[in-house]
Amino acid sequence: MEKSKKTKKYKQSDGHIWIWLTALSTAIGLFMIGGLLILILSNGLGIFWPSHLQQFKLKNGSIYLGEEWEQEKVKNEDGSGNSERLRIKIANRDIYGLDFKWIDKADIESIIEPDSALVLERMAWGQFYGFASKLTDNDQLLAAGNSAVIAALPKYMDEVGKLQEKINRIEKVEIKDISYQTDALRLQQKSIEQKEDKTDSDNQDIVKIDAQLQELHEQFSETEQQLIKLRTEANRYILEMLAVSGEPKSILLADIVRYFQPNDMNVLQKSGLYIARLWEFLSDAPREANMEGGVLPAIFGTVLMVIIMSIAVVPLGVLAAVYLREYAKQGLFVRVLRIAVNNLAGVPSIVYGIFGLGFFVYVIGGSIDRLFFAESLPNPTYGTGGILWASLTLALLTVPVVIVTAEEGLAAVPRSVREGSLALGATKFETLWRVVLPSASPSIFTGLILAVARAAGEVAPLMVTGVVKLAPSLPIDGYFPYIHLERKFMHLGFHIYDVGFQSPNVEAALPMVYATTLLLIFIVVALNLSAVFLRKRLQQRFAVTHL
Amino acid sequence: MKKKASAQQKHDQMSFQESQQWRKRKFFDRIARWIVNAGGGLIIASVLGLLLLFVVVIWPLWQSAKVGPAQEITPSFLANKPIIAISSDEYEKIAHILTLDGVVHFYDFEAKKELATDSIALRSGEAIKSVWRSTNTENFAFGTNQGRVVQYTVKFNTRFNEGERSYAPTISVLNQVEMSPDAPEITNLAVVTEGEGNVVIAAVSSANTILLYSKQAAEESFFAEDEPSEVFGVIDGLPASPTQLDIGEGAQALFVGLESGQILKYAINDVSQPERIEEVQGTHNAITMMDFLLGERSLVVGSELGELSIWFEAFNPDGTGARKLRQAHEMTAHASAISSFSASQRNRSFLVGSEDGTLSLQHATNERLLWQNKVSNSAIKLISMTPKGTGALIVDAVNEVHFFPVENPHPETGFSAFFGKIWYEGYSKPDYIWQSSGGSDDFEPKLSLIPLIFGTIKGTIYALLFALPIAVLAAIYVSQFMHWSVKSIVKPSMEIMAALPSVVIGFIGGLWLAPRIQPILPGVLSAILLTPAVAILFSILWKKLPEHIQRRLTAGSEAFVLLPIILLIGYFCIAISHSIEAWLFGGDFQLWLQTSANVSYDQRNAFVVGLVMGFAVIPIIFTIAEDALTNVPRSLTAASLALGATPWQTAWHIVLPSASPGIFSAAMIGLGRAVGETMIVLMATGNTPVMDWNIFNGFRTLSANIAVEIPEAPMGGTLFRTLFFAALLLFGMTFIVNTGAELVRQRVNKKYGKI
Repeated sequence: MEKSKKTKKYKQSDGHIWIWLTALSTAIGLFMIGGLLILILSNGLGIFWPSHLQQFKLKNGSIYLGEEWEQEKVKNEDGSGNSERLRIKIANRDIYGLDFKWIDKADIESIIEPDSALVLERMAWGQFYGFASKLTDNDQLLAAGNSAVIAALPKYMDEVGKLQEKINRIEKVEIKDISYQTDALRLQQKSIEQKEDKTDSDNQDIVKIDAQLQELHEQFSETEQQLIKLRTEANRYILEMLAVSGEPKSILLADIVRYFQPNDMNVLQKSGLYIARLWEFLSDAPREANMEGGVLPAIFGTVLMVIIMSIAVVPLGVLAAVYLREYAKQGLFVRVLRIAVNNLAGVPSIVYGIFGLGFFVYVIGGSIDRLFFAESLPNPTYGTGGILWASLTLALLTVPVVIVTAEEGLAAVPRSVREGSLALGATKFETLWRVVLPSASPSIFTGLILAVARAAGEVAPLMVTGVVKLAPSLPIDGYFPYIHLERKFMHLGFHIYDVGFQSPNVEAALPMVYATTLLLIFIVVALNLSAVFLRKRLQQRFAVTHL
Repeated sequence: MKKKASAQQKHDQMSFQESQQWRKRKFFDRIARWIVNAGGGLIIASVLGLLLLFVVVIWPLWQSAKVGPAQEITPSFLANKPIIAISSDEYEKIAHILTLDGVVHFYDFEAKKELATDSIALRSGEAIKSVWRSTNTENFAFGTNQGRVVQYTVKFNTRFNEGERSYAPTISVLNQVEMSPDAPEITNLAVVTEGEGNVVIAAVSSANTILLYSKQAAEESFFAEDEPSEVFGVIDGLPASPTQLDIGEGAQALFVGLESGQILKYAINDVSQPERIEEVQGTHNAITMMDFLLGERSLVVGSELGELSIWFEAFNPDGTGARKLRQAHEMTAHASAISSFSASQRNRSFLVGSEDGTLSLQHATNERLLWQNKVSNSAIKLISMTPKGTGALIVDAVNEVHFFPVENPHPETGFSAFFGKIWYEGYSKPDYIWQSSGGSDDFEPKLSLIPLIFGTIKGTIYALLFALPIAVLAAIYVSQFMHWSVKSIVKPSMEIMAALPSVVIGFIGGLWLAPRIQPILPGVLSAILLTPAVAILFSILWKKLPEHIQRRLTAGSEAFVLLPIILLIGYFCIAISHSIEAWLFGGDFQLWLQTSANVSYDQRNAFVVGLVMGFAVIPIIFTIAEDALTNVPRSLTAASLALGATPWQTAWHIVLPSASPGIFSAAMIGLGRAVGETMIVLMATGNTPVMDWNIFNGFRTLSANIAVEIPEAPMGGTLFRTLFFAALLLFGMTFIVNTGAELVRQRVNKKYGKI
């Protein structure tokens, strides 16, 4: 009897409630990660899938064509319970002004899914939802009626597409070439003009450059003529569309990126479209104020920045770690240094950003400009934010990560291995280079991957040191010296911030932001996971040195 | 023998080769040592360089102004004709000088030669008795002994021709007004032009009355006459004789300084019926100088004893009442009567001179004395700060002219401006305000860092309030109770959460969570209360179950049992949110907050930031705390369990105290992350620099402020340097926190090393 009472008391004080509470905290943490990932996955992957267009007829007679976006319960104004409403994407920004519309469910009379509804993805003004009425070529009717037009479209789209390709080549290659040469010549001329004492040959050079510039100018106007001709040809074809509410809209075929009839597609076709859109997202430049198109320049900028950062951070970090662990005399000084390094890891990234701005951009960049690019001043070359400065800033930001992990790796190499090498007559450097560093390489590599993962997701310091919403040209191109490290660049993380918070039409831009977010998370998580796996693999491979 | 010799030779050769190779290896070794040491030096250099750069950039903020050395530029053509007005062009090369005989000289004081002269014809027997210069335009006016007021404007007409500046300075008379048919002597005046051709003149006549005049330019209307309308008016019955006049508030108000020290304010929107609307005792001594600062809202009042004060119209300190003239600042006094004044046209600084020849440069808003010196043996009669504020022309009583270079780049700053309450123009009381840029030219930057520090602390506290308990409790669970097979999945996935880019978290917080939380706030709040309660209830019920079921289901996986429960509670709370709102808060929670708790609701607020900052902070605290808990030696827990303690008793009384320094260190590092986090707060708060603990308001942190403002801050400017100072503060805050955590960590390592 007494025993059972005691057991009961023991049971009460065993704190299982507390255990459950700690379990609750863990569950909340897991719930947060899971929720976030599911949220981003569902939003980020769904946007490329062509959803059905529905035609909503309201009781007041108005008709809307659009895709259902979300449902919401709202309080009635008189407080008599809730009513449900739908948000539909009606697109046609140039007609309605807004991309979205709220409709009360109670107001809807009927919903149908018209098979002939057509979606146009356009170069500007976003998508167009409606029905084709006719296709014209310089006012000459080519096809009339929805089905006839759609049947005729591929042929003409193809034709326009070929013209567009030519136009693109002229714009992106020939005109760019000319303007690049012109800029180079102008700079050359300016630097000659800035000389203190000009010789005769200098003056001749100036005249010569003038002649070359003139020639380029003629070449330019010629190309421009050609371009205008091509454009008028491409702009001959006009697709007349009707919005569901009856407004007509003429759209140049040249402005259409893609067209499809979502209600008339099977799963296979939809999958094809999904892949095409996903590919466009990954491989195209953005358009329509970054709200549509792709993110290739941002991917490119992110990757190049990370590469430059890695080139800077690995030698620096490893050198520092080797110093701290192998060469420095262990004592108070090294202890202070170690605290400083650990401290640097905790310094807010924006502080690094502002340091990069003050030191790299203004001090170093400004000096480089005065020494080597005096002819283009006051326009800064290196004295303004650019990919090199952003990368170096991130290298500083991430170097503590590499130092700490590399040091851990060095510390893990057993003393016996080092002593063995030294006893066989190797110098300290040889021991380090041939024996210690290879064994520590997994840690160094892990450090690098962690640094890259941190750098890929960091945005605040970049905003200060050279990231832009739309870079006119990539940091690598076909013009000498091919890698232009002074150029501004785009970045996936900044793209999220910019499109999500600075774009004029945030609602319409959200799908783009989700997709970019997913891509960034994918890159960062993949890097982190690869760090984990690589560490394991390399540890096994070099396990022999731990004998 | 021969063989031996050849062997010897061979050996020598080999050792020679070997030693050469050895030397080479030694050489490489030395080089490597040198490079590695240099690398070590590089870390030290970069840490020091970082600090040094900040110090170099910030240093000028704390420096006083530099004035002088003076250059004497007294023109030779004056021949003792007293100078009564002076000004300079913006390049500080040409001076405009008006002498008592009505002649205007343009004087190149760099080359010391006269460029041009012009004169304003005076009638026979007419003499100039008083002069007026407007605060921020090149308009001048003088009053004569025959009751006439002449207003003219100076144009330096600077032209650039192939990098060379040339001048064609001219004057043009804007207005000539006979103030009264009696032709009284005008001893003091104020003239203001408003818009096109409108002018208001106030002039003290020798009879101690103030004559008023206004001219409205002809309106281009159908019915109005073509002639401009002129109106005259008179103010008399003054309590003492007027010494200073100023017209302000868009020519709607006249301020009169009296010999008795009073300041009177008249409404002169209709000059024929001036109305005295205010009367304050500005000083107890005669007012000898009264003039506007830039923006024409603050009056600087100087007395015959050298006292200086700043006055402007403001509400009562509690924000009520009518706007009244109130003394906002007491400036550093001079030893004798204030005789001359010139306001900067760039900021709220001014130069003031006194009878004993002392000149001082002061900044009104933060009451900072930037520079003071005795520059002349006689009274300083005229001061003219150049348009860029980088120089001043000074004329003393013996008619000597000096040019003083002025270097005053950052007068608005200083310790009191950053950390003290400052009474800004137009505000009802001194306050902490951050507002770095504004629309108009005369906008005054308000650079108090206190609201930003407050915002940083607020964000950190709300973030930790949510993150700390969850992270630490989860660490206890995962390290002590969770099944090892699950742990190997849960821990890395928590760590992956640490790698989520903060821009993603900020985006989710600002654009997904914030608008969704707003309508279901009562549901969210009830979920926060309900979840732990339900979990406790569930645990009690669980205990009631037969033991074999308990054994079967929970083997260190309680967390997974709870996951669906969290989901259910969340769904339930959101579903009943509207009902709770209708039942408890009269149908509208935000309205209820506003009316009964006087709390306003911003969509992006500290609550949202607290929640999403958890994504950034929880994994950090969790990982470090979990490591600390796991590292507690097994022997301790084993001993505790062997002595009969329950797992929870062991965890609470043995493991937790042993690991507490590590958990403290984890919390500190989490704190450091929250303090410096930029993108999350930038995106998930409204970034308004308000000081309010309200959880449903936004705030602005130091870090977000830097990110928002640095792109617009010109290099080397006050804002640029102030933002660097903010960054240094942030650095300092995290430095203290991180060093604390690091010291604790090192100590813990030592302690466990012994066990």
